[in-house]
Amino acid sequence: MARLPAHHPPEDLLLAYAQGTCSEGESLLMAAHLTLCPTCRAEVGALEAVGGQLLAEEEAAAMPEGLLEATLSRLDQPTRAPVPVPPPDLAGLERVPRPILARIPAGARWRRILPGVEVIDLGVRQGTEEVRLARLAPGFTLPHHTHEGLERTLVFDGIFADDTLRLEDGDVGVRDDTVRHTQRVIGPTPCVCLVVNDAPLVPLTWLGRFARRLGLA
Amino acid sequence: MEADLRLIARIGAGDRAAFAELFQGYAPRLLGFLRSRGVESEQAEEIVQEVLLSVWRNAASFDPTRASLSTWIFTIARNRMIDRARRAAHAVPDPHDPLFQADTTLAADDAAEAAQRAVRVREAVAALPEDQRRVIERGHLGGLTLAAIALEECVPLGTVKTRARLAVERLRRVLAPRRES
Repeated sequence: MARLPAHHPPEDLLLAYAQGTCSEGESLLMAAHLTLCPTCRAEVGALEAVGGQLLAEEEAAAMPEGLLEATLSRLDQPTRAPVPVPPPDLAGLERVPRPILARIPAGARWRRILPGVEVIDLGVRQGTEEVRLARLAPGFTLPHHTHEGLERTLVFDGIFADDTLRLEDGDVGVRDDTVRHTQRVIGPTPCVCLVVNDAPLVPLTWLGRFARRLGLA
Repeated sequence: MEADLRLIARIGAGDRAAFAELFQGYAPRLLGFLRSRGVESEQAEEIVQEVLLSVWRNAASFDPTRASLSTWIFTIARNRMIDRARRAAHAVPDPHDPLFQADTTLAADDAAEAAQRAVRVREAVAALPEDQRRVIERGHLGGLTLAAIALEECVPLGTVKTRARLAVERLRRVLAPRRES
């Protein structure tokens, strides 16, 4: 079994997930992290308990006529059993939890967008948010870049690090536009990670800008 | 609380009268909750039915040592609301996932301890400073994002994020074990 995560989502994201107010990409990242992190699961559980308490204290609304009877008449309805979806037949997903696997579009393939970078787009379209699984080759270095808005990364497999943060085994890293950094894959294992961007990243080198202009990144 | 546990045990055994009693206790508050989150009447009534039908179908698997009944109902209602708004399932961890890491915290020993937890939750929220409590209440009950709360209160988003962080830290100290890091 992998080690437990050491880098956790920020508190405002734990709260937004418990309250049900986070974006779709954030909820995917949270569901994946909560699969791997019992500590954060307990904390989200505590924040949900706050919701339960507030619900218990909620003022009773006037009940529309017949709602109880309508519900009682549905008690014997057969439930639709969830149709089991076979996991996608793709390499590199051994350490990717189910909530993410379930969102890989049918027939998706790893798509190479740069030397050493393959991605699967998870098809989440909410505003400018981009949600992708990425597989980065050993030794890959993401050139100096910054972000418009927030970038959140959850590493499932391999190690992805910059000067101050080393991410592996379910760790979550959050970077905003105040951070300019170079990230690289450490060790012999390709790095498989979930990347949730508010907006596309901004390369700071001419090579990165060139790649961007060609529509590669 | 204890009444809840007796009811849910009977519902798990297929007792319709117990279900009707639970419905009458929870449906009006659930409807109030959904309306305060801005769900339109007709849809709110449909969600109330779906949530309580889900309680009926899954009552046997409810674990009172993990969460109170009102917490369980809150999470089902929250997930149903999101599913409808996004037309896609709200992402949640799957305990049967081979990658699922087992719990490290202990569940409550028994119903009495679970009931004490409910009291601790109420006290912890009441003890929050006013501005932090508003972030909790406007988010949980109003369904507002932190950005929307910032607009409502005419303060920068960073201020609301700080209040959220402080509130979570306080609640975590009282309600969940602290992280090692």
